[in-house]
Amino acid sequence: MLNPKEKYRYDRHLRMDEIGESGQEKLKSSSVLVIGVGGLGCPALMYLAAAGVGKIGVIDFDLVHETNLHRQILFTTDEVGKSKAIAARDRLQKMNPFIEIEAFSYKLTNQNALELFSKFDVIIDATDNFSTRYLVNDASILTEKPLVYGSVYKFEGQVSVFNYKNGPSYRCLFPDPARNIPSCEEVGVLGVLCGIIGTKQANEALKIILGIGNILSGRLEIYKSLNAESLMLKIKRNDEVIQLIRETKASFETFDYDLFCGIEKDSSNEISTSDFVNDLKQNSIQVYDVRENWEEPKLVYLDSVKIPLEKIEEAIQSLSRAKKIVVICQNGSRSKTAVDYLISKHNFENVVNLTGGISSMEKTGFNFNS
Amino acid sequence: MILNVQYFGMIAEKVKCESEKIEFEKSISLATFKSDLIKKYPALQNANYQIAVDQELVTGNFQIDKDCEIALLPPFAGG
Repeated sequence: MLNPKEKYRYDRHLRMDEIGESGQEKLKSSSVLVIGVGGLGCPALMYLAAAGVGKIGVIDFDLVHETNLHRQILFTTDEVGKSKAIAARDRLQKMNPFIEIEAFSYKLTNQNALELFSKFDVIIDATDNFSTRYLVNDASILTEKPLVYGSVYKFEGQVSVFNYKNGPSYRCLFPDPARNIPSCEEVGVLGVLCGIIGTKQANEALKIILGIGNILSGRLEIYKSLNAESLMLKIKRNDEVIQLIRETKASFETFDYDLFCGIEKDSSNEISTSDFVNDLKQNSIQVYDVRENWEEPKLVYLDSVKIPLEKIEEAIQSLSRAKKIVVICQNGSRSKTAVDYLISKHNFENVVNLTGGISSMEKTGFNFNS
Repeated sequence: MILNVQYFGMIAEKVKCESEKIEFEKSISLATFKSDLIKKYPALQNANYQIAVDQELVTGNFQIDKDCEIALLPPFAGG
Protein backbone atom coordinates (compact mmCIF):
# COMPACT_ATOMS: atom_id res chain seq x y z
CA MET A 1 0.00 0.00 0.00
CA LEU A 2 1.17 3.50 -0.79
CA ASN A 3 1.11 6.04 2.03
CA PRO A 4 -0.23 9.59 1.36
CA LYS A 5 3.29 11.00 0.91
CA GLU A 6 4.10 8.36 -1.68
CA LYS A 7 0.81 8.97 -3.48
CA TYR A 8 1.73 12.64 -3.77
CA ARG A 9 5.32 11.96 -4.78
CA TYR A 10 4.38 9.54 -7.57
CA ASP A 11 1.33 11.59 -8.66
CA ARG A 12 2.38 11.83 -12.33
CA HIS A 13 2.68 8.05 -12.51
CA LEU A 14 -0.65 7.57 -10.75
CA ARG A 15 -2.44 9.82 -13.24
CA MET A 16 -1.80 7.37 -16.09
CA ASP A 17 -4.17 4.43 -16.46
CA GLU A 18 -1.26 2.23 -17.59
CA ILE A 19 0.40 2.64 -14.18
CA GLY A 20 -2.10 4.06 -11.65
CA GLU A 21 -2.05 3.19 -7.98
CA SER A 22 -1.86 -0.56 -8.59
CA GLY A 23 1.14 -0.13 -10.93
CA GLN A 24 2.93 2.09 -8.44
CA GLU A 25 2.31 -0.54 -5.76
CA LYS A 26 3.85 -3.13 -8.07
CA LEU A 27 6.94 -0.94 -8.37
CA LYS A 28 7.05 -0.51 -4.59
CA SER A 29 6.93 -4.25 -3.96
CA SER A 30 9.46 -5.08 -6.69
CA SER A 31 13.22 -5.42 -6.57
CA VAL A 32 15.95 -4.82 -9.16
CA LEU A 33 19.64 -5.72 -9.01
CA VAL A 34 21.97 -3.49 -11.02
CA ILE A 35 25.34 -5.09 -11.75
CA GLY A 36 28.02 -2.49 -12.28
CA VAL A 37 27.72 1.15 -11.25
CA GLY A 38 29.36 2.60 -14.34
CA GLY A 39 28.18 4.55 -17.36
CA LEU A 40 25.09 2.37 -17.82
CA GLY A 41 24.41 1.61 -14.17
CA CYS A 42 24.31 5.25 -13.02
CA PRO A 43 21.45 6.52 -15.22
CA ALA A 44 19.55 3.23 -14.89
CA LEU A 45 19.78 3.44 -11.09
CA MET A 46 18.69 7.07 -10.97
CA TYR A 47 15.48 6.40 -12.91
CA LEU A 48 14.69 3.17 -11.06
CA ALA A 49 15.11 4.95 -7.72
CA ALA A 50 13.09 7.97 -8.82
CA ALA A 51 10.33 5.70 -10.18
CA GLY A 52 9.91 4.12 -6.75
CA VAL A 53 11.24 0.59 -7.24
CA GLY A 54 10.93 -0.63 -3.64
CA LYS A 55 14.23 -2.45 -3.33
CA ILE A 56 17.33 -1.77 -5.41
CA GLY A 57 20.58 -3.71 -5.16
CA VAL A 58 23.85 -2.22 -6.43
CA ILE A 59 26.95 -4.32 -6.82
CA ASP A 60 30.39 -3.00 -7.81
CA PHE A 61 33.79 -3.77 -6.31
CA ASP A 62 35.50 -0.73 -7.79
CA LEU A 63 36.23 2.78 -6.54
CA VAL A 64 35.20 6.05 -8.18
CA HIS A 65 37.93 7.27 -10.55
CA GLU A 66 38.18 10.79 -11.90
CA THR A 67 38.00 9.45 -15.47
CA ASN A 68 34.57 7.93 -14.64
CA LEU A 69 32.96 11.30 -13.99
CA HIS A 70 32.27 12.32 -17.61
CA ARG A 71 29.63 9.58 -17.81
CA GLN A 72 28.97 8.19 -14.33
CA ILE A 73 26.58 10.89 -13.27
CA LEU A 74 25.75 9.58 -9.80
CA PHE A 75 29.17 10.64 -8.51
CA THR A 76 30.66 13.98 -7.56
CA THR A 77 34.27 15.11 -7.81
CA ASP A 78 34.82 14.84 -4.07
CA GLU A 79 33.77 11.17 -4.15
CA VAL A 80 36.84 10.08 -6.14
CA GLY A 81 38.40 7.16 -4.25
CA LYS A 82 35.16 6.07 -2.58
CA SER A 83 33.44 2.75 -3.12
CA LYS A 84 31.08 3.07 -6.10
CA ALA A 85 28.43 0.87 -4.52
CA ILE A 86 28.42 2.84 -1.26
CA ALA A 87 28.54 6.26 -2.96
CA ALA A 88 25.68 5.20 -5.26
CA ARG A 89 23.63 3.96 -2.34
CA ASP A 90 24.09 7.20 -0.39
CA ARG A 91 23.17 9.38 -3.37
CA LEU A 92 20.13 7.30 -4.37
CA GLN A 93 18.87 7.21 -0.80
CA LYS A 94 18.96 11.02 -0.75
CA MET A 95 17.09 11.12 -4.06
CA ASN A 96 14.35 8.86 -2.74
CA PRO A 97 14.05 8.10 0.98
CA PHE A 98 10.94 5.96 0.36
CA ILE A 99 12.88 3.04 -1.09
CA GLU A 100 15.42 0.56 0.22
CA ILE A 101 18.88 0.39 -1.34
CA GLU A 102 21.36 -2.35 -0.65
CA ALA A 103 25.02 -1.84 -1.58
CA PHE A 104 27.37 -4.75 -2.27
CA SER A 105 30.90 -3.39 -2.57
CA TYR A 106 32.48 -6.60 -3.75
CA LYS A 107 32.97 -8.47 -7.01
CA LEU A 108 30.20 -10.56 -8.50
CA THR A 109 31.51 -14.12 -8.81
CA ASN A 110 30.17 -17.57 -9.64
CA GLN A 111 30.22 -18.26 -5.90
CA ASN A 112 27.93 -15.40 -4.87
CA ALA A 113 25.83 -14.77 -8.01
CA LEU A 114 23.06 -17.35 -7.59
CA GLU A 115 22.28 -16.42 -3.99
CA LEU A 116 22.32 -12.71 -4.79
CA PHE A 117 20.16 -13.03 -7.94
CA SER A 118 17.56 -15.09 -6.08
CA LYS A 119 16.80 -12.07 -3.85
CA PHE A 120 15.73 -9.84 -6.78
CA ASP A 121 12.96 -9.83 -9.43
CA VAL A 122 14.84 -8.25 -12.35
CA ILE A 123 18.58 -8.16 -13.15
CA ILE A 124 20.26 -5.32 -15.07
CA ASP A 125 23.56 -6.08 -16.81
CA ALA A 126 25.51 -2.82 -16.68
CA THR A 127 28.93 -4.47 -16.56
CA ASP A 128 31.94 -3.64 -18.68
CA ASN A 129 33.48 -6.98 -19.68
CA PHE A 130 32.58 -10.21 -21.48
CA SER A 131 33.52 -12.53 -18.66
CA THR A 132 31.00 -10.98 -16.26
CA ARG A 133 28.35 -10.70 -19.00
CA TYR A 134 28.42 -14.47 -19.65
CA LEU A 135 28.42 -15.10 -15.90
CA VAL A 136 25.41 -12.78 -15.42
CA ASN A 137 23.57 -14.40 -18.34
CA ASP A 138 24.09 -17.92 -17.02
CA ALA A 139 23.15 -16.97 -13.46
CA SER A 140 19.94 -15.36 -14.78
CA ILE A 141 19.05 -18.58 -16.60
CA LEU A 142 19.77 -20.68 -13.50
CA THR A 143 17.74 -18.42 -11.19
CA GLU A 144 15.04 -17.78 -13.85
CA LYS A 145 15.30 -14.00 -13.73
CA PRO A 146 14.68 -11.61 -16.62
CA LEU A 147 17.89 -9.86 -17.64
CA VAL A 148 18.02 -6.38 -19.14
CA TYR A 149 21.17 -6.11 -21.25
CA GLY A 150 22.96 -2.97 -22.38
CA SER A 151 26.38 -2.41 -23.88
CA VAL A 152 28.29 0.49 -25.43
CA TYR A 153 31.22 1.04 -27.81
CA LYS A 154 32.35 4.57 -28.64
CA PHE A 155 29.20 6.08 -30.24
CA GLU A 156 27.14 2.88 -30.56
CA GLY A 157 24.96 0.99 -28.10
CA GLN A 158 23.04 -2.29 -27.87
CA VAL A 159 19.99 -3.04 -25.70
CA SER A 160 17.88 -6.16 -25.28
CA VAL A 161 15.95 -8.19 -22.72
CA PHE A 162 17.09 -11.76 -22.21
CA ASN A 163 15.65 -14.75 -20.44
CA TYR A 164 12.16 -13.24 -20.42
CA LYS A 165 9.18 -15.60 -20.82
CA ASN A 166 11.03 -18.22 -22.86
CA GLY A 167 12.81 -15.60 -24.96
CA PRO A 168 16.43 -15.81 -26.09
CA SER A 169 19.49 -15.32 -23.88
CA TYR A 170 22.77 -13.47 -24.39
CA ARG A 171 24.31 -16.75 -25.55
CA CYS A 172 21.64 -17.06 -28.27
CA LEU A 173 22.87 -13.72 -29.64
CA PHE A 174 26.60 -14.20 -29.06
CA PRO A 175 27.34 -17.91 -28.49
CA ASP A 176 31.12 -17.52 -28.65
CA PRO A 177 32.97 -15.05 -26.49
CA ALA A 178 34.77 -12.39 -28.46
CA ARG A 179 38.51 -12.00 -28.08
CA ASN A 180 40.60 -8.87 -28.30
CA ILE A 181 37.72 -6.41 -28.24
CA PRO A 182 38.87 -3.16 -26.69
CA SER A 183 37.01 -1.74 -23.67
CA CYS A 184 35.77 1.82 -22.96
CA GLU A 185 38.93 2.30 -20.95
CA GLU A 186 40.98 1.64 -24.08
CA VAL A 187 38.93 3.23 -26.89
CA GLY A 188 36.75 5.75 -25.07
CA VAL A 189 33.01 6.22 -25.09
CA LEU A 190 30.59 9.12 -25.53
CA GLY A 191 29.29 9.95 -22.05
CA VAL A 192 25.73 10.75 -23.08
CA LEU A 193 25.45 7.49 -25.07
CA CYS A 194 25.77 5.63 -21.76
CA GLY A 195 22.91 7.78 -20.48
CA ILE A 196 20.72 6.86 -23.46
CA ILE A 197 21.40 3.12 -23.29
CA GLY A 198 21.26 2.92 -19.46
CA THR A 199 17.96 4.80 -19.48
CA LYS A 200 16.55 2.39 -22.08
CA GLN A 201 17.54 -0.44 -19.73
CA ALA A 202 15.64 1.22 -16.86
CA ASN A 203 12.64 1.63 -19.17
CA GLU A 204 12.58 -2.10 -19.98
CA ALA A 205 12.96 -3.06 -16.30
CA LEU A 206 10.02 -0.81 -15.35
CA LYS A 207 7.83 -2.29 -18.16
CA ILE A 208 8.67 -5.82 -17.01
CA ILE A 209 7.64 -4.99 -13.43
CA LEU A 210 4.48 -3.14 -14.51
CA GLY A 211 3.54 -5.73 -17.13
CA ILE A 212 2.86 -3.07 -19.77
CA GLY A 213 3.95 -2.43 -23.37
CA ASN A 214 6.06 -4.65 -25.59
CA ILE A 215 9.17 -5.92 -23.90
CA LEU A 216 12.40 -5.78 -25.94
CA SER A 217 12.72 -9.57 -25.81
CA GLY A 218 13.68 -11.49 -28.96
CA ARG A 219 14.92 -8.21 -30.42
CA LEU A 220 18.20 -6.34 -30.21
CA GLU A 221 18.13 -2.59 -30.54
CA ILE A 222 21.27 -0.99 -31.93
CA TYR A 223 21.56 2.75 -31.49
CA LYS A 224 24.09 4.85 -33.40
CA SER A 225 24.36 8.22 -31.71
CA LEU A 226 26.36 9.90 -34.50
CA ASN A 227 23.71 9.17 -37.13
CA ALA A 228 20.75 9.33 -34.70
CA GLU A 229 19.70 5.95 -36.13
CA SER A 230 18.25 2.86 -34.52
CA LEU A 231 18.12 -0.63 -35.95
CA MET A 232 15.98 -3.41 -34.57
CA LEU A 233 17.18 -7.00 -35.18
CA LYS A 234 15.24 -10.17 -34.42
CA ILE A 235 17.01 -12.79 -32.27
CA LYS A 236 15.82 -16.38 -32.00
CA ARG A 237 15.98 -18.48 -28.87
CA ASN A 238 18.50 -21.33 -29.08
CA ASP A 239 17.00 -24.03 -26.84
CA GLU A 240 20.09 -26.22 -26.98
CA VAL A 241 22.33 -23.48 -25.65
CA ILE A 242 19.95 -22.63 -22.80
CA GLN A 243 19.38 -26.27 -21.92
CA LEU A 244 23.12 -26.82 -21.68
CA ILE A 245 23.45 -24.03 -19.10
CA ARG A 246 20.61 -25.54 -17.07
CA GLU A 247 22.22 -28.97 -17.16
CA THR A 248 25.59 -27.69 -16.03
CA LYS A 249 24.17 -25.94 -12.95
CA ALA A 250 26.31 -28.14 -10.70
CA SER A 251 29.54 -26.89 -12.28
CA PHE A 252 28.49 -23.22 -12.49
CA GLU A 253 30.36 -22.26 -9.34
CA THR A 254 33.65 -23.67 -10.57
CA PHE A 255 33.44 -22.62 -14.23
CA ASP A 256 36.28 -20.28 -15.21
CA TYR A 257 34.56 -17.43 -17.07
CA ASP A 258 37.82 -15.51 -17.50
CA LEU A 259 39.44 -18.47 -19.21
CA PHE A 260 36.30 -18.99 -21.34
CA CYS A 261 36.63 -15.41 -22.55
CA GLY A 262 40.37 -15.74 -23.17
CA ILE A 263 41.38 -13.54 -20.26
CA GLU A 264 44.66 -14.59 -18.76
CA LYS A 265 45.15 -14.27 -15.05
CA ASP A 266 46.89 -11.00 -14.32
CA SER A 267 49.89 -12.03 -12.27
CA SER A 268 51.64 -8.67 -12.42
CA ASN A 269 51.58 -6.64 -9.22
CA GLU A 270 50.94 -9.73 -7.14
CA ILE A 271 53.02 -11.23 -4.33
CA SER A 272 52.75 -14.82 -3.11
CA THR A 273 52.39 -15.67 0.57
CA SER A 274 55.88 -17.20 0.70
CA ASP A 275 57.55 -14.16 -0.90
CA PHE A 276 55.58 -11.94 1.47
CA VAL A 277 56.85 -13.89 4.50
CA ASN A 278 60.45 -13.54 3.25
CA ASP A 279 60.02 -9.80 2.71
CA LEU A 280 58.58 -9.46 6.20
CA LYS A 281 61.60 -11.22 7.71
CA GLN A 282 63.95 -8.89 5.87
CA ASN A 283 61.87 -5.91 6.89
CA SER A 284 62.12 -4.65 3.30
CA ILE A 285 58.48 -3.68 2.76
CA GLN A 286 55.67 -1.57 4.11
CA VAL A 287 52.28 -3.19 4.59
CA TYR A 288 48.98 -1.45 3.83
CA ASP A 289 45.96 -3.19 5.38
CA VAL A 290 42.75 -2.03 3.64
CA ARG A 291 40.34 -3.94 5.87
CA GLU A 292 37.79 -2.29 8.14
CA ASN A 293 38.95 -1.68 11.72
CA TRP A 294 36.62 -4.32 13.17
CA GLU A 295 37.92 -7.16 11.02
CA GLU A 296 39.76 -10.13 12.52
CA PRO A 297 42.56 -11.09 12.88
CA LYS A 298 43.77 -7.65 13.98
CA LEU A 299 47.47 -8.28 13.15
CA VAL A 300 48.63 -6.25 16.16
CA TYR A 301 52.25 -7.38 15.84
CA LEU A 302 52.46 -6.47 12.17
CA ASP A 303 53.62 -2.94 11.48
CA SER A 304 51.16 -1.65 8.89
CA VAL A 305 49.19 1.34 7.63
CA LYS A 306 45.59 0.58 8.60
CA ILE A 307 43.13 2.65 6.56
CA PRO A 308 40.03 1.01 5.06
CA LEU A 309 39.66 0.87 1.27
CA GLU A 310 36.77 3.35 1.55
CA LYS A 311 39.24 6.01 2.79
CA ILE A 312 42.15 5.17 0.48
CA GLU A 313 42.79 8.85 -0.29
CA GLU A 314 43.70 9.35 3.37
CA ALA A 315 46.32 6.62 3.09
CA ILE A 316 48.32 8.25 0.29
CA GLN A 317 50.45 10.47 2.52
CA SER A 318 51.22 7.61 4.92
CA LEU A 319 52.64 5.45 2.12
CA SER A 320 56.26 5.83 1.11
CA ARG A 321 57.16 5.57 -2.57
CA ALA A 322 60.73 4.66 -1.62
CA LYS A 323 59.79 1.27 -0.22
CA LYS A 324 57.83 -1.61 -1.75
CA ILE A 325 54.19 -1.57 -0.59
CA VAL A 326 52.28 -4.82 -0.05
CA VAL A 327 48.52 -4.26 0.15
CA ILE A 328 46.57 -6.84 2.11
CA CYS A 329 42.95 -7.68 2.97
CA GLN A 330 41.02 -10.78 3.97
CA ASN A 331 41.08 -12.65 0.64
CA GLY A 332 43.03 -10.48 -1.81
CA SER A 333 40.08 -8.87 -3.57
CA ARG A 334 39.77 -5.41 -1.98
CA SER A 335 43.56 -5.14 -1.84
CA LYS A 336 43.65 -5.78 -5.62
CA THR A 337 41.23 -2.87 -6.11
CA ALA A 338 43.51 -0.72 -3.93
CA VAL A 339 46.65 -1.69 -5.89
CA ASP A 340 44.99 -0.84 -9.21
CA TYR A 341 43.83 2.47 -7.77
CA LEU A 342 47.22 3.43 -6.34
CA ILE A 343 48.88 2.70 -9.69
CA SER A 344 46.33 4.35 -11.98
CA LYS A 345 45.38 7.36 -9.85
CA HIS A 346 48.55 8.11 -7.93
CA ASN A 347 51.25 6.58 -10.15
CA PHE A 348 52.69 4.33 -7.46
CA GLU A 349 55.31 2.11 -9.08
CA ASN A 350 56.27 -0.37 -6.41
CA VAL A 351 52.99 -1.69 -5.04
CA VAL A 352 51.76 -5.30 -5.02
CA ASN A 353 48.75 -7.29 -3.88
CA LEU A 354 49.05 -10.18 -1.43
CA THR A 355 47.48 -12.99 -3.49
CA GLY A 356 44.72 -14.74 -1.57
CA GLY A 357 45.04 -12.30 1.34
CA ILE A 358 45.25 -13.07 5.03
CA SER A 359 43.08 -16.18 4.60
CA SER A 360 45.74 -17.90 2.53
CA MET A 361 48.46 -16.81 4.99
CA GLU A 362 46.49 -18.53 7.74
CA LYS A 363 46.11 -21.66 5.62
CA THR A 364 49.88 -21.94 5.40
CA GLY A 365 50.00 -21.88 9.21
CA PHE A 366 51.54 -18.42 9.45
CA ASN A 367 51.02 -16.88 12.89
CA PHE A 368 50.48 -13.11 12.77
CA ASN A 369 50.40 -12.86 16.56
CA SER A 370 54.01 -13.45 17.35
CA MET B 1 21.08 -9.19 -56.70
CA ILE B 2 22.24 -6.25 -54.63
CA LEU B 3 23.09 -6.56 -50.98
CA ASN B 4 23.04 -3.46 -48.84
CA VAL B 5 25.67 -4.26 -46.23
CA GLN B 6 25.90 -2.36 -42.94
CA TYR B 7 28.88 -2.56 -40.61
CA PHE B 8 28.73 -1.91 -36.86
CA GLY B 9 31.13 -1.26 -34.00
CA MET B 10 34.74 -2.24 -34.61
CA ILE B 11 33.75 -4.08 -37.82
CA ALA B 12 33.00 -0.69 -39.39
CA GLU B 13 36.47 0.43 -38.26
CA LYS B 14 38.12 -2.64 -39.79
CA VAL B 15 36.47 -2.16 -43.21
CA LYS B 16 36.67 1.64 -42.91
CA CYS B 17 33.06 2.28 -43.94
CA GLU B 18 29.62 2.08 -42.36
CA SER B 19 27.67 0.71 -45.29
CA GLU B 20 28.02 -0.20 -48.95
CA LYS B 21 26.18 -1.97 -51.74
CA ILE B 22 27.68 -5.23 -52.98
CA GLU B 23 26.41 -6.95 -56.11
CA PHE B 24 26.33 -10.72 -56.67
CA GLU B 25 25.38 -12.40 -59.94
CA LYS B 26 23.58 -15.31 -58.35
CA SER B 27 22.34 -16.71 -55.05
CA ILE B 28 25.08 -17.37 -52.47
CA SER B 29 25.37 -19.17 -49.16
CA LEU B 30 26.11 -17.29 -45.95
CA ALA B 31 29.51 -19.03 -45.82
CA THR B 32 30.43 -17.88 -49.34
CA PHE B 33 29.31 -14.36 -48.54
CA LYS B 34 31.59 -14.37 -45.49
CA SER B 35 34.62 -15.74 -47.35
CA ASP B 36 34.12 -13.28 -50.23
CA LEU B 37 34.01 -10.48 -47.70
CA ILE B 38 37.27 -11.65 -46.11
CA LYS B 39 38.90 -11.61 -49.58
CA LYS B 40 37.82 -7.99 -49.91
CA TYR B 41 38.69 -7.09 -46.30
CA PRO B 42 41.47 -9.35 -44.93
CA ALA B 43 41.11 -7.52 -41.58
CA LEU B 44 37.88 -9.48 -41.04
CA GLN B 45 39.78 -12.79 -41.01
CA ASN B 46 39.49 -13.49 -37.29
CA ALA B 47 36.78 -11.00 -36.47
CA ASN B 48 33.88 -12.10 -34.28
CA TYR B 49 30.45 -10.96 -35.53
CA GLN B 50 26.90 -12.12 -36.12
CA ILE B 51 25.04 -11.59 -39.37
CA ALA B 52 21.49 -10.34 -39.75
CA VAL B 53 19.65 -10.61 -43.07
CA ASP B 54 16.69 -8.27 -43.41
CA GLN B 55 16.83 -7.49 -39.68
CA GLU B 56 16.88 -11.12 -38.58
CA LEU B 57 19.90 -12.92 -37.14
CA VAL B 58 20.88 -15.90 -39.29
CA THR B 59 23.37 -18.75 -38.87
CA GLY B 60 24.44 -22.03 -40.45
CA ASN B 61 23.29 -22.95 -43.95
CA PHE B 62 21.41 -19.79 -44.75
CA GLN B 63 21.09 -18.96 -48.46
CA ILE B 64 21.05 -15.36 -49.65
CA ASP B 65 18.91 -15.35 -52.81
CA LYS B 66 17.48 -11.87 -53.23
CA ASP B 67 18.17 -8.17 -52.68
CA CYS B 68 18.44 -7.63 -48.95
CA GLU B 69 19.83 -5.66 -46.04
CA ILE B 70 22.75 -7.32 -44.32
CA ALA B 71 24.16 -6.26 -40.96
CA LEU B 72 27.51 -7.34 -39.52
CA LEU B 73 27.19 -7.10 -35.79
CA PRO B 74 30.17 -7.47 -33.44
CA PRO B 75 29.79 -8.01 -29.71
CA PHE B 76 31.09 -5.32 -27.41
CA ALA B 77 31.06 -5.23 -23.66
CA GLY B 78 31.55 -1.60 -22.62
CA GLY B 79 29.46 -0.19 -19.83
